[in-house]
Amino acid sequence: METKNNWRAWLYLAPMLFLMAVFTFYPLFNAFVISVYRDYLPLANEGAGTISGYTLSNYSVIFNNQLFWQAVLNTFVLAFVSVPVSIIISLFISVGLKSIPKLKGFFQSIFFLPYVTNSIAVGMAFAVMFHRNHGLFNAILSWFGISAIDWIGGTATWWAQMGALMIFTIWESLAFKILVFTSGLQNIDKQYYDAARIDAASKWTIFKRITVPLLSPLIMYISITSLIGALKAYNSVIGLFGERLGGQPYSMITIVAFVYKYRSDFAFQGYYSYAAAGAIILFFITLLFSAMQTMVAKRRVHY
Amino acid sequence: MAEVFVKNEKVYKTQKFISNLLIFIFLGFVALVVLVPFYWMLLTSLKNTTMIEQVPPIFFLKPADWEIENYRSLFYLVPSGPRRGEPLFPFFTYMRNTIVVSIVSTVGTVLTTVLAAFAFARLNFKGRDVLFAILIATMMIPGEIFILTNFLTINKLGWYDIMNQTFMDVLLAMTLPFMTSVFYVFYLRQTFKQIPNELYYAAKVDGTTDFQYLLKIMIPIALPTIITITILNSMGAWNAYIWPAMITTKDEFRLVSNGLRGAFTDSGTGRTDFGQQMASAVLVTLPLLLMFFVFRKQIMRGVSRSGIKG
Amino acid sequence: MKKLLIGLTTFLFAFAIIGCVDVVTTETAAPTTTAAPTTTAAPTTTVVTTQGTTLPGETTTVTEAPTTTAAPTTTAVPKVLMDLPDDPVEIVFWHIYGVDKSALLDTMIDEFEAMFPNVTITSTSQSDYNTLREKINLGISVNQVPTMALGYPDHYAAYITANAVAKLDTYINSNVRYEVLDSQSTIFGQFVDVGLDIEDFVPGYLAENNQYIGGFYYSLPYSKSTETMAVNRMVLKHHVTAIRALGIEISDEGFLSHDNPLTFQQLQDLTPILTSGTGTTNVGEKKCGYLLNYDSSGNMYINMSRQFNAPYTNSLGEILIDNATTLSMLNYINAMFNAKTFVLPIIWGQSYGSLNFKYGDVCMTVGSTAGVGYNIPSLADTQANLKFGIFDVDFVGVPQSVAEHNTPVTLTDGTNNYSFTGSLSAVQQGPNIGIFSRATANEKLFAWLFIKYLTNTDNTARWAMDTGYLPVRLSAYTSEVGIPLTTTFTTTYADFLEIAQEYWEADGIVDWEVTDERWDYLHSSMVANVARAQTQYYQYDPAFAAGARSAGSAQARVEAGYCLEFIFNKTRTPSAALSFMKNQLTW
Repeated sequence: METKNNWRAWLYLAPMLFLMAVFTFYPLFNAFVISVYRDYLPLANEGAGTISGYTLSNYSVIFNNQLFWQAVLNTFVLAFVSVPVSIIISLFISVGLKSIPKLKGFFQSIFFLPYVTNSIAVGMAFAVMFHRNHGLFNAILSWFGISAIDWIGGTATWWAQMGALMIFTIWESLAFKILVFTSGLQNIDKQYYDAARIDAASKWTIFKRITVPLLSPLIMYISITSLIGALKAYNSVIGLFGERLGGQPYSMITIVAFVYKYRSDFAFQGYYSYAAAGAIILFFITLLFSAMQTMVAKRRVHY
Repeated sequence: MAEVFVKNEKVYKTQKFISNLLIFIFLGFVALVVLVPFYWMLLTSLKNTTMIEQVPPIFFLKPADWEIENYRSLFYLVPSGPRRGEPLFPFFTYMRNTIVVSIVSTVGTVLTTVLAAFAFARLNFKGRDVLFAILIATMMIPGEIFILTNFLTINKLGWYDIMNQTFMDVLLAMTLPFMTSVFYVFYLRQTFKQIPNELYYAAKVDGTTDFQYLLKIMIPIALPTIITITILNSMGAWNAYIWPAMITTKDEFRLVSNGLRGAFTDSGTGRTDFGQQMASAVLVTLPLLLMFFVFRKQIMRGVSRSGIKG
Repeated sequence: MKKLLIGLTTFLFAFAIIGCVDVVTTETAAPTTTAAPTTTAAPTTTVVTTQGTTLPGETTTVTEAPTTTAAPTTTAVPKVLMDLPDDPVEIVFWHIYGVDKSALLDTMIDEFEAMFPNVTITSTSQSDYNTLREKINLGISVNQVPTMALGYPDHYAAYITANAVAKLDTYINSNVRYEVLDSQSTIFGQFVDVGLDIEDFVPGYLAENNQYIGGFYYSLPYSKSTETMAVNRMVLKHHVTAIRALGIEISDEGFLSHDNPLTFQQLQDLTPILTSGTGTTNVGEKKCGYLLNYDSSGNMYINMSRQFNAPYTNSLGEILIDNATTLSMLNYINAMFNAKTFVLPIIWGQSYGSLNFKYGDVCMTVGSTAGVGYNIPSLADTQANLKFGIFDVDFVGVPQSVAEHNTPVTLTDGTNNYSFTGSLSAVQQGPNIGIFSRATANEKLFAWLFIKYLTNTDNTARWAMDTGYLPVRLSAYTSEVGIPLTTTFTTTYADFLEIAQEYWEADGIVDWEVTDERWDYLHSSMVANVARAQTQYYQYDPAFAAGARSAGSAQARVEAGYCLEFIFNKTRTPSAALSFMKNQLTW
């Protein structure tokens, strides 16, 4: 490749970088700065804000809050279960779609539907479905003689709530993954499969030895972006549980929801700094996991 | 020998039939799971409060029992006051705003994404990998933390004026911060990278500039991916909630999601009318679904052809 | 001074006027005696001057309600007469009312704009209080706030720290009287007073609105409600003899006293009589699963902490929950949860207990006056769910720890004793309304006149009867002005209150026609009566912004409610729940 078109490359990047500089990098930089303000009062001084110095104690306020650790636990469970599970399900679906070409279009359209919708609307529908008394889930369970479970109500156990949240999260995230994997499968050279068939390889072997390795770059892409998305989970919690962040208060709090709890009170002394500190902690957690994932992938992903 | 071969063929066919059947059942089950929330939304929207609270829940409703009132009440007009004659729940206004915001932000996003993805995929420049890594890192920051600073920026740009905010101000404020997407740049870069280098060098020999090459060769080849991005991104405006609520001063500038929340909650007691809420949820979802079914072929073709490979 | 007055009154611009009002007010400090109404019909015999003047006996018009306070109604108060500014004014008013209530609000806006054609009021719903508060907070930092807004006291506490709210005292005490000179106006040629009789507001509400630094009014009460207790009269009637044996006042038809609320001790005594002990309703024996449901666990905590004299927060913003009385209170509540005397709606998977009250799962329920209708079983309910069928509902005051204010009491759950000095207390809740200081003088003036209009005797009564909120004015209770509720039914608030009184006096046996419209308003009327009796021990929640090491009052309320939910759920013991609450509120 040529090396002399340095400035031209930056020209192509300019629109994106300009917008990001204003609406992403600047606020990000600002968040770092705010996270070390002491006693930040953003409304004081005619809206210019006042501080009484710089401190790292905002971070310790976060770490001393019992809810923070609850949030970390919930976020990790949600991310590290829902991401692999949804990837596996969508892989199976995509492979399944490939083997029934006749109905493929029909099914593909259905699987795409969760993407073509409003997440608040669907969150509300799920909340109705999970309702303990008149919800659909418990009605189905009752067919099998299982008595009503409180999924998202005030007496729900942590497991029931996490289960409901997991189902909702996976339901929401399938569409995009199926889409990406189906189109990825389309691109795998037929030769590989023909060769495998001649060798009389079983479907499972083909899946394990051909499909997954050839899709590995895509799986990698999907798992990085989904993990990042899942670590930032917030909308699904609000959609299902509302401001209480759980059937039992706070029981499904995630890191972003924790940050948000401070941010919405930002006018109070120090709150915005706590929110910023929380967000930056999340940033480093995410960075850490993405880096780990990339390192693992470098050894495993088949290019 | 021939005999054996035929037998194997039979076994093979049966096996294939059974495995296809299993696959079909599996896919059918998942399809059902995907569809049920939509059905439930529709069903609930046609129930009155008593039906909603019924245990066990009602699974089917005869058309005669449909509570159409949930829908009709959405189109009631304001009986008095300065807004007399206007709809109580300005559904069509919200819809129009959403469509406009969706189009503008999508056009912008596709533009910045195509240009940036091209630079990352095809051009070699100093600091490329570092910059790409930095961009990926920005995906890891919860966007909520940007809101306050971005709000201040929008205000400095004069787009948040409580007395004289225009729709243009709102449009700019709603779209500009979201006209970039590292996620799509990442996605499109993968497609661009697949296009053989040879094409590029051949074009160079012919004296084609980078930009002409992008326009004439890369974009047409990557069109399915770009269509996918367009479709995916245009859904975004349907889901935006916090930011549009934040930067609009008037009701008439809001988007559909804003209308969904709050409008059907009794402000005195906090109780929600689920039937009405679901009816409005259906109304908000319906245009998207209709659009999807009308353009289903184009969309699915675009989606399935958007070959993305490492 | 006089020269100054003459000079200033010739100006039409209100910014000049407001400055003047301050001066005038200091000279004639007495508040005006006019009560609620904004308008005063022109006294035909009075010569209108353009100078500060005295209008003797001006409180004479039909739109005016007589004042009920001790204010000297006979004394003529000097008025400064001025021409009303008539240049265009745009007022931005932010609230949170959804489609249900904004209709009546829009009507009032319409009426106000017809009175002042130069004013345009843009009212916008910000969908919920969190969004409203956040947007105003953001707006303050960039000098973009509405002219006026609804808000809870803790919202105002935060706005005030940023100097963003206008003091209303200037207007309240003003003696300026404007003449309406716009011929398009519905009150053309009439007079409008700026000042109002603050004494006419319900004192409990006022205390909440001037609790801020300096004791100024930064807001006025607007949509106020309290909690009352709905009781299943059918079940009570069935057990009348047993209840009487406990020494509890009850009529033959099962009406409890509407003046003396039940005490916790009485609730404990009632539990074995009225509940099955198993948590499920026994229809045959007419026993409910639980005795008393509290809709709002936040209100339950806060109100009980007052009834127990357990320190909670104070107006300095100190979080005081870490004390033995609070722990004792939580232990008592825990014991009552275990005894099925108290219950929270989450047991049925609900946010409110109304549904299960109708179903007969619980015999009594404490909830907002604004939600009365939800507690009444009717033909619209699925009849199979109503374990007791359609029963009569009565409303009484919320239960108290003691019968008389400030008396020592010892409660027991059988194993532990809980001794404390009990107080009478009922919550008052609902938003207030205020003006932002950023607005121009003219905007503020008309925003003020609008607040005055919304809260005047007639409108506060109309709002109350239409929405289930309570009138904020004392005069509303005695006003003689009929208010049309439907096209065929017009009533004064006093007559509205009389509906329940008559019903109660007849012990529920009245000979009203089925079509009598009084039936439609019977329960609202009961609640209004009970609420009125409770006003004497209304206590407000100290409102404060978060400090460096502690949370604000809004979060304190939320955590208080969660604390009781954790105890109810058995997720945390009372002491663990208290320590979690402390962890959330201080750091």
